[in-house]
Amino acid sequence: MSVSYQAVGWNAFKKKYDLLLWAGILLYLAIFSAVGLALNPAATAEILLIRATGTAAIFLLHMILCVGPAARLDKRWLPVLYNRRHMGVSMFLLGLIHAVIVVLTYHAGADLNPVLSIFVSDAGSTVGTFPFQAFGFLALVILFLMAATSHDFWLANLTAPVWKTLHMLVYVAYAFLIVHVVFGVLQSETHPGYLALLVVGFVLVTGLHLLSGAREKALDRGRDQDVAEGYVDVCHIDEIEDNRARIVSLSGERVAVFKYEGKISVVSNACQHQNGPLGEGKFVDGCITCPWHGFQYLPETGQSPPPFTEKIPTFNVKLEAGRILVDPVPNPAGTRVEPAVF
Amino acid sequence: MSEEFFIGWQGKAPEAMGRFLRGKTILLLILAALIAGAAAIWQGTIGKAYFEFGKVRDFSGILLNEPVPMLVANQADETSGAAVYYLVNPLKFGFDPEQAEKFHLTNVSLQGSLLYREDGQAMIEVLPDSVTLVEGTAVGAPLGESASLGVQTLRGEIVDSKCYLGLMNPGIGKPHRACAIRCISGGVPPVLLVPNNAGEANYFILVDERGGAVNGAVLDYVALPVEITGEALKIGDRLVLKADPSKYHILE
Ligand code: FES
Repeated sequence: MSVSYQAVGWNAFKKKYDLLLWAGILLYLAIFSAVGLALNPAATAEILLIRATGTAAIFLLHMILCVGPAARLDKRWLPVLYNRRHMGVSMFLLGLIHAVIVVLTYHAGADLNPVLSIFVSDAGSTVGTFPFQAFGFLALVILFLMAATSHDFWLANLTAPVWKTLHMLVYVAYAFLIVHVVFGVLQSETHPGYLALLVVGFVLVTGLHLLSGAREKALDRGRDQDVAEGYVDVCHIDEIEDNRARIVSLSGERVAVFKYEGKISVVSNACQHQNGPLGEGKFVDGCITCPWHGFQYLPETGQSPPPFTEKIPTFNVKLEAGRILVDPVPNPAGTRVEPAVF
Repeated sequence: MSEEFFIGWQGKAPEAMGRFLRGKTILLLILAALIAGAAAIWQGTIGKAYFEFGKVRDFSGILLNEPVPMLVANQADETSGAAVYYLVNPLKFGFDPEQAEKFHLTNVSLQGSLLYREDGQAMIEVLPDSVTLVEGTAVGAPLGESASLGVQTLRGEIVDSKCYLGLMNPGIGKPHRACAIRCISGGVPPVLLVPNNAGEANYFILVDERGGAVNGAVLDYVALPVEITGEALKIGDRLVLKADPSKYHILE
């Protein structure tokens, strides 16, 4: 982790981020309710709230899904990515409010257990009987698991790969929610604008993912060298900015080649925290600093400065006439490697 | 000059990044406001139906058990303009069948909250145990004359009359289906809404061929496009459709 890490950091940036996030959410709910009530004076509070929170949650989910690839395409989005979990937790809360009012309104006060009613009332295979509520319920369960484990405590305890897999379920939740909306409210509210927005959202989410994916692929292809024997020539020292890195792909694995203080060190590109791209980070205060949440590593050892204990693999490196040569075989995480000096 | 670099635990984003994000934040807020407005405007299913939640009134008139529990009031109330009311219990339950039988064709007074639509249909959510017998005898056919309209094939949507008359709004369609099923299962009279030329809907109270309640037998057909063939009756200004639920037909 980082030298200047603050244990539970509620710094000015986070506060402003949350303030703006919730200002936006409340603005959305207020406008939806006010406009809805103005046009439909007979509308009831619970239906307006169900619809306002439901649509707001879907809107926020699109932002959550877009900010990752957006930040990969344009680094200026990174501050939004950092703290993305706050968006996720907020979205879960919106979904929870939506679900609780739905259960109280549509399912409670009847001759059946309200939660059971969610599953038995719509259980057919036609459009009109398709169990859209069950899909909404399952999506909420996924969002709950993600929100509940969003803290770094869980990241550390579940280990990064498990945590990462768990949080990839957001795409499953997204798919479930599309089913929930298309087979639910859109069967009744038939204005084409709703479907149009969903389609635009889907195109945006998949488009940004494909674009950022394609860009990384191109990077891999451009750099992937033949690793037949020994060291691989990755580039010239002048091709890397001071205190920055270049990401290259060696035998299919991305590594970050850092240039700092007249030295070259090579480490794995994947941050221990959430697999952030270390090669897009910077050399700050004597450490390689992850662009996502600022975890830090010493370039020679791949270890976080004490008292932190994160470790990433290092790679042997040497220079020949200004060209950087890297041994594609990784050293065990945390192994000290002499930097190449120029 | 190397490009700016933001670290999450730093309190502030660098200058140019900050400017970029300010611009994008404003754009996103405008987008959120536009989508909220549009999504609210596009709603097309909220009807002109009302529930006087928490407001209890006194009603009096003749209580009927057929075709479904109703009250034919001595006078129309001013809010709904209606003088005939369906009777139901609170929450998702129909009027108590024992009470309906006991007070059938008697003069009663009762307390409850009004539900109504602007098309003149109304209902009372009766306060439990508030029905009391009043002096006087009931006339034979309080609703009015009954006339057969012959066998008809009608297409429409089965709704629970309570939600449609204002407990929920909208009280129709797919999102509300589970609720309608629960209400009808709990005894609320099921009604077939058949769109008419006036852009409104005719209400056909659903009963079986012998005039009995069909609640339990129609649950699978609720909130779906259905076609029902049966004998239609006009009792006063009420429409009733007598048909065997097992012969209902889903049009999906
Ligand atoms: S600091 Fe979070 S991924 Fe690197």
